[in-house]
Amino acid sequence: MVQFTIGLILIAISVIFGGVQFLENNTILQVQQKQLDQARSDKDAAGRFAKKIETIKEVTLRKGEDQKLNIERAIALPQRLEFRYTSEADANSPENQYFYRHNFEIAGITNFYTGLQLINKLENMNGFVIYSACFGCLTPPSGTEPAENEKMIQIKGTVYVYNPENVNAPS
Amino acid sequence: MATAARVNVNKFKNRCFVGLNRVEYYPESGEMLFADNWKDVTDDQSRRNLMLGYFAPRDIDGADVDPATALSPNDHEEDQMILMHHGRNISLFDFCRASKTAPNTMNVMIVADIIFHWDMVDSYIQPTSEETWIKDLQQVFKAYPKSTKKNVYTNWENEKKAELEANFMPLDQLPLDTNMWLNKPTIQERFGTPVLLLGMAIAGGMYFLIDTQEGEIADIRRRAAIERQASGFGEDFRQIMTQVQEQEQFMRYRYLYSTILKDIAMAVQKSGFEVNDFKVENPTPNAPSDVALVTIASKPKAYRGYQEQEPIARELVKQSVTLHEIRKPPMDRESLTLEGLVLLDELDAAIRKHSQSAKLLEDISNAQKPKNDDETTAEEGK
Repeated sequence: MVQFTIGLILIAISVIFGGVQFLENNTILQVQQKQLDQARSDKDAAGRFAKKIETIKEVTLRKGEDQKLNIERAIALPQRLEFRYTSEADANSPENQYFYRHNFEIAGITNFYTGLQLINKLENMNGFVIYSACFGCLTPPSGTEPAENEKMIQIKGTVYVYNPENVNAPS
Repeated sequence: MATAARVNVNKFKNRCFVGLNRVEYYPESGEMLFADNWKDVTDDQSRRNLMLGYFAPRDIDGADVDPATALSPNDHEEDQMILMHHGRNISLFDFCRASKTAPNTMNVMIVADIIFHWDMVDSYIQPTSEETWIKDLQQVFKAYPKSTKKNVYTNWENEKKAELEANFMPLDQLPLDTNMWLNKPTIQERFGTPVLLLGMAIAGGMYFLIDTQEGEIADIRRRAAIERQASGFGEDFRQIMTQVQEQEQFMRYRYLYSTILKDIAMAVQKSGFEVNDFKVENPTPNAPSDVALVTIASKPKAYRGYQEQEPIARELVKQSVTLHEIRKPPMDRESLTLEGLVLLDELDAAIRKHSQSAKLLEDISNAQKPKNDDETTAEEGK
């Protein structure tokens, strides 16, 4: 009688808990298998990707070079133009440990030729991508008097930065 | 008519039939024995698997008789103790509780010192002996019609038994049924051990299965980690790849903004458009785009009405090489505002093609230069 009861309890516990654990493990197994397949394909892709990493690093700012002073010095910002970050990524955040980006704005009074030169310079500088450039669409600050051929210019864009300590293509 | 489940008599190693004053005992190995008391012929060893068959006619009030009383009417306390001690090892069969037979059939059992017979109505018991049992049986048969099928179960032999019209069979073939079995084990008792063993086997199997699975999971995890390490980028390869690809998409056309601005400025100048401000932008700054949106606004009240606005807009598009199309958005402004669309992919392709052609021409020019220089030198020499 006791043996029968213990036996039944044992069967029930084994089937219920064991079954649940089995199904759970089965799901984990499938997920892990997918991750293994992904890791294998990543390994294959990594070889091809290494060159791409090196290429992208060549056109991206290194961490530290994205400081405002460094950028202003690199751009050689003309007088009466101001550079500022409109949003800054936290370089120490885990999601920014490899690549991150800031949004910037350059605004001020200048003539079209200088503005075009500046845009051209930004286009060729590492890490800079412009997404908006405007001539004359802002009202000059009060107290400033632009010359006849001068207008307010506003350039908006993104600065891409990488962390050389973490982004290392495999040799 | 018998409806209870049959019991195989051979499943009991030792069989003892208790009559009125004598018992007939069949040990597992050995000859049949007769004795006065079932306790005399059995011992502890044999009682571990013993079928104890007896005949306990119901009491006067119709109640069943206690097995111990039926086994030893005079001294049943010892029997009770033995039965209690051995529990279900001793299987008690009260033949008086036999199921009714089929119609027109009677069964007879001759054992120990009794003739026991039962039919479709009831069961009956009467004393007999080895010397008189044939005659006693004949008397029993007389109470039944001749057409009645008669089954006789006995191990007794007599040369005259062939004269009787009956089907003689050994006791081994006695039709035992569960109605007779007083202490028949319950399902729990019968299957207790097998169920426990099965439970242990299933538990063990499950443990093995899950342990194997977990081992496999750990192995796959380890292999995946090795593969990730071997890729050189570690575990965040996907993150890096996504970021790089996204950056690539954003940087595809980044060199085109100055070209577009220059072209728009030249178009404005050539068309004579009285410009106040203009803007080039990615219409979706948070996502890579294949188009750039150009917005050009005139000085206030420079162009009034369709007749002035339409020609200047046409001229502007005509003078631009980057504007794909232009429209006048519904704006309530004093100035004329035009929106133009630049297809960056087409512009990129055109510039690349032009650059290649220019490079090719330069290469050809460079290749011809030394030759021309040589020719000039030769002419000078002449």
